[in-house]
Amino acid sequence: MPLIDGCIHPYPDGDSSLRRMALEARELGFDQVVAAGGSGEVPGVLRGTIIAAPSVKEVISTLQGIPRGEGVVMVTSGDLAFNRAVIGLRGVRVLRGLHRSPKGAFNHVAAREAEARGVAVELDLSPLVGERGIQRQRAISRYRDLLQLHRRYHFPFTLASNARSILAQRSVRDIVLLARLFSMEESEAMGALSSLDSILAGRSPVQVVRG
Amino acid sequence: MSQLPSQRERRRYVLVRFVPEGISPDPREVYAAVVEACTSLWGDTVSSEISPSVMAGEGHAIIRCRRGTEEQLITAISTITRVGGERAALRPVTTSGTLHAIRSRMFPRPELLWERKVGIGGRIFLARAYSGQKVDLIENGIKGQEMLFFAAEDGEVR
Repeated sequence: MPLIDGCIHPYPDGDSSLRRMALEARELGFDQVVAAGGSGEVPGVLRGTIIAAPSVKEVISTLQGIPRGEGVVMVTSGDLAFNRAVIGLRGVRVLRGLHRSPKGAFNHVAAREAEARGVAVELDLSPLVGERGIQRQRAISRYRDLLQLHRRYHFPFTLASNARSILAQRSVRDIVLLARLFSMEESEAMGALSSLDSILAGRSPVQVVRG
Repeated sequence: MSQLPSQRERRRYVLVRFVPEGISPDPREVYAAVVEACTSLWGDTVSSEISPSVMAGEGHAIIRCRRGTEEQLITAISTITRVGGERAALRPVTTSGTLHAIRSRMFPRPELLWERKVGIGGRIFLARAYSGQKVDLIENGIKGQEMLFFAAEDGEVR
């Protein structure tokens, strides 16, 4: 399974070009990256679209402008009602930014729905790397809560550096160690790094279950 | 904690390389960044167990810690975003129990292929191309130094 950095933000949002960030990601042990922005066709880069809208209606209208099956659609989270509605929308692959949402914004009901719809929850590693003090502590605490829900309801996770520079990109090993800060096991971290591949492949309408 | 016959504690050495290419920060600044990262992430107690010390060279540094704390040290190193006020990252390359072994894993600094001025968005940058298709652009402005990171294939630097 390919290891994928869940989201990067190349030039002009960041200070590094898409090609350079893809080069760096390869050196750091990744097979692919999801790029929100940047230009040009670069091997090993999956196109990502971030929808940050205040209402579900606006998310739906933005989704209508995106050709079906094109890239990874990521929606910035809001409150619980918003998140549950977004998880149910066709085409949404990733719910992001939950560490900034209110505490009850993702509960067991949302977790079940995310598992059923194959929508991943992004764990953004940038607050662990770039923040200090209370901001980092809050992110670690939220990720620990999400991990407990994940272990019970098995919805997919993605791990994303959300790097805007090659200086903010981290290696696979670094990311596994950073994930340990919120008690994520190595196997869980590797699963989260490779989950996007199966999410994008989609679920087969018929599943063979062996007894 | 296991000790050598001389009663000295066993140590581990972590080789890190600096990004961007071509920087060689002062060892004292690297030490300050490592200690700050360890203390803010793990607190004073664990930082005293890690007990980091730094030997910095051309484009890389060797960071020493107590054996058994190397993963905590590497986690802390991955949270470093600045060294001595300049934006930088430290990429762990390898870990070893002896300085001899770690020196054998050192690599020469990436070769500077060419250097010239390029204009991007009405601004003039000094472009430095290194081996591995990497091109770093440096602008010296009134507010300090700004850097962009491109690849040799990018249209802006061709």
